[in-house]
Amino acid sequence: MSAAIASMRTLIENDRIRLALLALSLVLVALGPFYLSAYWERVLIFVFFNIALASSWNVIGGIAGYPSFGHGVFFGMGAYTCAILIVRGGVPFPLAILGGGAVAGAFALLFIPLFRQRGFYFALSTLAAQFAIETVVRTWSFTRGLQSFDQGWNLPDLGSLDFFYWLTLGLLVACIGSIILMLRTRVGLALRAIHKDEVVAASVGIPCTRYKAIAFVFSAVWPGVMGAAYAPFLVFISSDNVFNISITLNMILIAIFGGIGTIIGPIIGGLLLSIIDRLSWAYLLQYHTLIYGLMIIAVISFRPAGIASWFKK
Amino acid sequence: MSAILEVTKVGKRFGGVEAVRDLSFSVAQGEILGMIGPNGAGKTTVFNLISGVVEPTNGRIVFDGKDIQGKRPDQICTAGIARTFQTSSLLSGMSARENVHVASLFRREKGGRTADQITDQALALCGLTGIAAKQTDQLTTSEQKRVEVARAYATGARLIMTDEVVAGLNGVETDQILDILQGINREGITLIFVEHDVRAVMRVSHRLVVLAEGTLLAEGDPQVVARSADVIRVYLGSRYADAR
Repeated sequence: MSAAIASMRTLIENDRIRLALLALSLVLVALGPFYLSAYWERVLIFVFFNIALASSWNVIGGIAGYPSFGHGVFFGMGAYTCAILIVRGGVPFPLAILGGGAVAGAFALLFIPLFRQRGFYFALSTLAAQFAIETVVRTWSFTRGLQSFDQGWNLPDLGSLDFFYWLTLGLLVACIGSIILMLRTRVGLALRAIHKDEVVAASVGIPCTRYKAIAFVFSAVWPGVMGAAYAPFLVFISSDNVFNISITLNMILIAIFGGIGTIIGPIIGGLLLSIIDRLSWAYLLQYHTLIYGLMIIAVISFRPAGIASWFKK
Repeated sequence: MSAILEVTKVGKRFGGVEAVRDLSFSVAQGEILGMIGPNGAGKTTVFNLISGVVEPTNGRIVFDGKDIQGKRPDQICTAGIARTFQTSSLLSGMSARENVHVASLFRREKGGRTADQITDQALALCGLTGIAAKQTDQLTTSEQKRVEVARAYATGARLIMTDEVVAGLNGVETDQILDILQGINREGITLIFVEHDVRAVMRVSHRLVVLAEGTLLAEGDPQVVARSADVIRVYLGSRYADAR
């Protein structure tokens, strides 16, 4: 086992081999609709969503060290923005996707005062914000809450399963690519410094609040974009399925399971947890939640740095 | 010489504890000011007050003619004050070079140089070029201390405050870091040097201030201050001061 991991590590550490493996995997995944059944295509679309959401959360929660427990709200906002723009405004789908990201990003700016807090208090504040916003969406007539004549939004059919497969894969690649690029700028080093020691980071001239805000807005835009892509894929959305707290929890669990604070962690976490989830649904239905929970507890207990840490020296 | 830093009647209270009380002193441009005092005298609190980590309860701190009390640490760093920390404050999970580079990247005035060039110069000045790629957990105590100094230097500060930078070092390592500090000072950078090692303080300081219980006990020429009965009383007890 350890020899296998060591040889995997050697392979992964070689840049050329790493790039070739990445390119090959991407081509194989991109060709999925040509050899996958509709069931597995749909499963992979959910995997793409999960990885993109966990990767986005990882920017603020893992890299900057500010664990947001309200990040699912940006996904819901993206979905609702897209639905409202398309159904009420007849806006083209690509513009509605951009609108979802823009609204989520703009809304994230309202969270900046929460950066006075850290750790448990920050997490609790963001969780409270999630519940507050969810309540507004549930009850506001503009969002077709319970006070109005309807609940939720029906969207027109905007594309085939293959279309949504390639759309979500493309958005996932763009999401991870943008995170990698961002981390290579001074923003990345600033966030790592803030995570390690905020007093030291400030003492070398890093305006910590500004960089935390950049990280937070960045990590909110992508869930907004993904939410906007999710709405027409699901056809019907309501606060129950796009503002659900489980969306936030999944982002966090996937990132932690795979390897918090790393690029590869949410990818590994998204893939493995989705596979475990599907297999336990298929073969051990009554134990599904138990297995899922035990897996997460086991990894957090015995490998707190996540599965990705197995492949690091 | 004109004062680059003026601390006037500064106080800091933590609940019922008065850590610093009506403290006033100044630092001249280009000097090395030694700051000594027994444990709990308020030396680190003074650093925290000047660097903006904590806000003074009262008083004024003026750097280069501008009030800085109440400003954020990053603003104070950008204004030209950098510091090292009493306990190792290197950013874990990063190399020695990255620890210095983070300061170069956020330095405002780069003088036509790139952040990489500034980092390389700071590493070379502190004798760290050969170990720049080492992770912080692989560094010796002496190397860690020098990375802290290099990082403070890379910010482009005109005033650097070092907090017990030779603590835990042997004689050779202490001399090495004192040489580095004197080299930095020869570039015109002002230093405040907090230290328990009196030999080190006497070697590099142009002037000395002594704190006791958050107040200024004595200040002046290091040789004179060190012989002051008040200073000996605080350090060794009244029996030794009276015996002189």
